[in-house]
Amino acid sequence: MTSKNLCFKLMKEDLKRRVWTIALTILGLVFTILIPTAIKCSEFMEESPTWNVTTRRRMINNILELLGVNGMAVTVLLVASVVWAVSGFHYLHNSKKVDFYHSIPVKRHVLFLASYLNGILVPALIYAAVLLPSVALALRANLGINHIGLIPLQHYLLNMVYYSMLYTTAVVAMMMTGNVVIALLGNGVFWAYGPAVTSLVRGYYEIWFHTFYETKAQAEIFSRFLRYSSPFSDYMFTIFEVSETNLKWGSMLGAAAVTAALAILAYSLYRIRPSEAAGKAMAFPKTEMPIKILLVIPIAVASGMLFYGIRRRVFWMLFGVVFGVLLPHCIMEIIYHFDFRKLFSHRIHLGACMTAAVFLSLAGYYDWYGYDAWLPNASKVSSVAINMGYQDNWITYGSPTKEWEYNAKKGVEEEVYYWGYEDAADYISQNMNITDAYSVLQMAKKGVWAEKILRNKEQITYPDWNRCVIWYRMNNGKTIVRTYFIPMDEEIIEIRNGIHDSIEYKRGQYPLLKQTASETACVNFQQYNKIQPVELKHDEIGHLLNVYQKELEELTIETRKKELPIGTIQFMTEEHKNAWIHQAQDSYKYDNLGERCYYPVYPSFTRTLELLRAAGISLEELDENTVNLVSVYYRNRYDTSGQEAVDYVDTTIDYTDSKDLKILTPALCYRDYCDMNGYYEIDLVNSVDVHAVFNRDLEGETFYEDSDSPKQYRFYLDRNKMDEETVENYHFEKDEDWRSGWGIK
Amino acid sequence: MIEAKNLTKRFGDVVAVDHINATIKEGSVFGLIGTNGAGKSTFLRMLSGILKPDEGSVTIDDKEVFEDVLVKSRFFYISDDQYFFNNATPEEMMNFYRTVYPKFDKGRFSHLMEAFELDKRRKINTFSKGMKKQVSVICGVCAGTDYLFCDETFDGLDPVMRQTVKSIFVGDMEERNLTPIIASHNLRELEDICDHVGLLHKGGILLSRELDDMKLNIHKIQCVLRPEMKVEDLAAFDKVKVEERGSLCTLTVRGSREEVESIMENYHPIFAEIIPLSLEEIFISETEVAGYDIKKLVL
Repeated sequence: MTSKNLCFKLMKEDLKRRVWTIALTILGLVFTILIPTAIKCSEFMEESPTWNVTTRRRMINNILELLGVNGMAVTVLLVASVVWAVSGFHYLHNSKKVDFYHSIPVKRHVLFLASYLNGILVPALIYAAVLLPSVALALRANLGINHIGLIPLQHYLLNMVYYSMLYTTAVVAMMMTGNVVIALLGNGVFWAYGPAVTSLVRGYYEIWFHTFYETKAQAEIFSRFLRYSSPFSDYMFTIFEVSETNLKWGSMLGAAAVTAALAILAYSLYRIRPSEAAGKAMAFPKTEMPIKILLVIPIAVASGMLFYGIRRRVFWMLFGVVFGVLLPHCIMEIIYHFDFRKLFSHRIHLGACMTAAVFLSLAGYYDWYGYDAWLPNASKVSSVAINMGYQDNWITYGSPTKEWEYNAKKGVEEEVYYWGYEDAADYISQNMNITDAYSVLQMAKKGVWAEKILRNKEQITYPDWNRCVIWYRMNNGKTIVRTYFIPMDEEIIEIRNGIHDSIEYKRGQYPLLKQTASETACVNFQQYNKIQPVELKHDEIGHLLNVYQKELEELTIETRKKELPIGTIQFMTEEHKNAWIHQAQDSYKYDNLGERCYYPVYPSFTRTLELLRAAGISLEELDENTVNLVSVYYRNRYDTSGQEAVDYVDTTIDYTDSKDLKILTPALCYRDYCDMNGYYEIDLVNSVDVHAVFNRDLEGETFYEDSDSPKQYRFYLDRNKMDEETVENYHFEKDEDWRSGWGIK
Repeated sequence: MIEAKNLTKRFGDVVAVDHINATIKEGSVFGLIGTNGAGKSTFLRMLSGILKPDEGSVTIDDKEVFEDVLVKSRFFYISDDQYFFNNATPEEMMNFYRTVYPKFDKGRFSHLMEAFELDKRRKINTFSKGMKKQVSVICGVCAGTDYLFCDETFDGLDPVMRQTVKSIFVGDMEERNLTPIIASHNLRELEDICDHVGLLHKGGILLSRELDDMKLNIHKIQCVLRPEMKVEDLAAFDKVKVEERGSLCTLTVRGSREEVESIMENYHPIFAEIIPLSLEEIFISETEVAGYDIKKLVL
């Protein structure tokens, strides 16, 4: 008899003994695909005439999801992958069965193939057999072939490729073990080990390397490890990425290749697997030690980090490590020997694991790697980029992004635009080139100094700290990134100011400084939410842009300390303008593109303001003539712990009298403008919320929707711009004064 | 002919089979005797190609057994606890065996099932231990192989079935030159069927001899000596064992039948008769020569 015929005969015989596996698979898939599809199709047939386009579209999508990557069916396939592997090869875990199968005159590769192929082909047939009537039901419900298309077939292929990969992984686990429970645990390790260790490494960096800053590239590497280090996580990532139009053929081919490699591995293991391995924990004794070490050390390091996270003491970290070594090591020895009394076997391994885990944990705790103490030699740095915290987090990075989206009203797919946000750090790292690294290094040095003190749990008191990220571009082409928590003493503040005021810094910070006149389509000026298009010819726009860029480059911290913007200006590019016109309107992604890319105009930007005035822009002043009302809400006052209210106020007073307005309006600071200048020195009245209403908004056109109230604008109150008498009369005391004096009851 | 050369198998630190050399000729019944843990099953599992030897080789007609389908199709292995598929009937097992043993005799299987009064459509898991043994023997015999490896096969069979199975073996040996290799811890079980016996102890073969050869050189005499004589006076005999019950003496002595009879005549006993030796008694004498106490080994 040829091997091929024998293999088919054995496959047939094998199936006779796996009837319950077949039944479970059929039941699982029928209940997750066929029955839900039938229910949805029935609903669709009966009720769709009464639905609007959006509901109809949603229902079609629901049915397509059931026929495609269906979460419930995926769960069934995940379970089936393990069940089929176990039912196919569990005979290897039983001495009686091994004797039976290995004594008959059949080559082992034929035995392997018969069981292995059944584990893929039969579920594939069952899946297809369940999917076909489901598709037929969808067609009968008049879903239309144009809607269904190749989705069921494509997603069937995707699910089967990943099923095969997971199934083959489970087969490898069966080959490596001699007991079904251990095989299931082993399969769990195959599914979870890679992502768990990747997460552990990431956690190790975050906990011990205080100056570690995860760049986009590093995040991508971590993400890739997270995904590709386990067949399970790869399947999950692929499912979440996949959509109707976006089938991941590359991922599927990769998974198919991995499946083939795993199948070869499984077969090789089957060939060399000794029959006497049946009933033992591990089929290959040589794998016991490496598997144990590979599990125990990461668990111990993670346990140390967990206990350190709870108590922040080296003692508790070491307790966690010792606990984390002993527990899994003992459990694994018990499992390996199937004997509780053997829990302390292989003490040398135990000692080695303990040493390695303690070393890794202490190395992190004391930074024996020197990671946080590292500072580059200035001569080896070609340039640096620095992100100095969040004083300028109003800047819009990124560009308009085009997508195709279904327009429910029009019933067609159409081109829409969103703002594709770019991370500030990414922009700065790519665009800032500060060639004089010395100043930045001085700041880094201070950060390293502070880090050393904080790591030793010593106290360090500074009124102001700044979190900075620094990109060191080395002469050898490498870029090294660190983040520092820097105490801002006078010397460092001076250095920081110097960096801020430099043109190199600003050119890497503000994307507008790279914009050219030819790219610019139009200009808008905005003051307290009132937008005025700046009507200029193209060459005048270019001139205004140049003037503004120059003044922005010349802006110093000293100016920003004293001034708040009086308005904002937007130099819209052609691309931006086009995107704004075609922006998505009825989507959850809606984001008014017209509001992006506004830059502050400070009072000291005299040449810009002059050009704006010349272009007919009217600049609004805050005074009793423009402001109609200042509404002050006095909040409850709390004790220093912030827990208990010492004075219950909770009162709003509306000041509309011209006398009050004359006193209050000079102290108003528009919140949006304050948010654009984190350096502004303001003595904030914390105990109140202030809103103002402009005269211009009283005509009703700008009233809130469904409201008869005019628009209110949020302001801060600056105590520096009020005299003592005003502070007293209007009860703008500081919190501590309030408790000792009187208050509004 | 099956030939084991230097055959060795270790399970961790335990040497289950230790450099065994054995030859099993076709057409004879080979009995493999030994205590529990002596290595009988391991030896048979290596003969069956289930276990791969750590050292040495096992061949059938000079061909390695392990992973050679043609060689493996020449024998059928009946383990001490034969596996049957879950919920399978004898008929279903037969159908499976037919896919892997091309010479499987379906007609004979049905005939033997009837002869043994076993229902071939009844689930095997409802059978008694002895009935399961019968099914496995019937499958083995009907597989049409040259060799039948039986591991403790007679254990669990009642005496009638034991004799029936032995007679089937004898019939197949005559008809198609079947060679049964029977492992057992019970000497008495193999006594009336084995032509050749191998004694395994602690993984090694203590002896491997033709039963008839062993019987030729040891004899048992019952005699009544003259009143003036004592057993100690029979110095010319190479005595293995002496028993006295009143005036009746039973001696187990070495030597050919002619030698023994001649020596006894010289002592002029009142009565003397050579009586048959059991396999057990033969083993006692043979293993004592090798310095072992057989009673502790197999009895």
